[in-house]
Amino acid sequence: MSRIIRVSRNEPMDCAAVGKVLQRFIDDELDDRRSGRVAEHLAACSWCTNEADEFRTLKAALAHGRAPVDDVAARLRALGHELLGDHRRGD
Amino acid sequence: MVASQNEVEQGAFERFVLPEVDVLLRVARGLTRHEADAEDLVQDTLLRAFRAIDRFDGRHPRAWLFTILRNAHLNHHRRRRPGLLRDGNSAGRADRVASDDGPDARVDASFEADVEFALKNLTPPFRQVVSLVDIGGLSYAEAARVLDVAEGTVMSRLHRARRNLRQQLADRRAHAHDGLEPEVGT
Repeated sequence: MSRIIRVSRNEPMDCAAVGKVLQRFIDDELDDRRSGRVAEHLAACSWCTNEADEFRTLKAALAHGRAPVDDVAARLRALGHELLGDHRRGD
Repeated sequence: MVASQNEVEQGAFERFVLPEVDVLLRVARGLTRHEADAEDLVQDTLLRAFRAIDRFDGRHPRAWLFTILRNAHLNHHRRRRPGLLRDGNSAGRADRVASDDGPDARVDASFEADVEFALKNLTPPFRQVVSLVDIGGLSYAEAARVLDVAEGTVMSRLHRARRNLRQQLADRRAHAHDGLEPEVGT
């Protein structure tokens, strides 16, 4: 179960409150209301914007990191096709 | 003409499994830390997925594949290190907080290589969540199902792991600047 971060519905979020949910914001795991409030804070806070940028950069580097070695991926795809081929020939 | 059950299953394998080979390989590389082990792991995953495709309900294919991958990884690990497998909560150095005035750890030409190096230094529970969420693109809920842990556990491990990665990157930059090799390992 997700940890619940309680923040007032109307008060602006401060840096500490944003820090607690910043990574969930980056991962698009906050509901629209809280996401909007974090975005509102970031628009006015260069410190938290810098924090967010660092984690976004890290996440992007992980997501788009070094591509698999072509021949390894090709060997594995060939294995998949071989499994299908064997199965079809065995029908 | 009505497709036979076998044709439906083969179609599902082609549609859901084969396009994921690259991402499976990248996640496996994150889990195992070695290219050869990653290839073995994905090979095992493909075989298991092929045998199990008739039981796949078509929902959340990537999460289903990563569950198979993770189980295969656990089996590989058990075979290699009997009795040593654990699902610890210790992050090692993962709970260190990046220094306020640390060097900027953002992108340059070697950034992705540094990130990959840093990922290998995380302990397995932390490497797993980063691999599933950041490399594999799963949501917290999907990763929680794959790992059979609470969503909050995924969240806390992921956040601590990223802080650790960021700290390692800052350390590498600082040591590179000083001409020294940073300490590694958790």
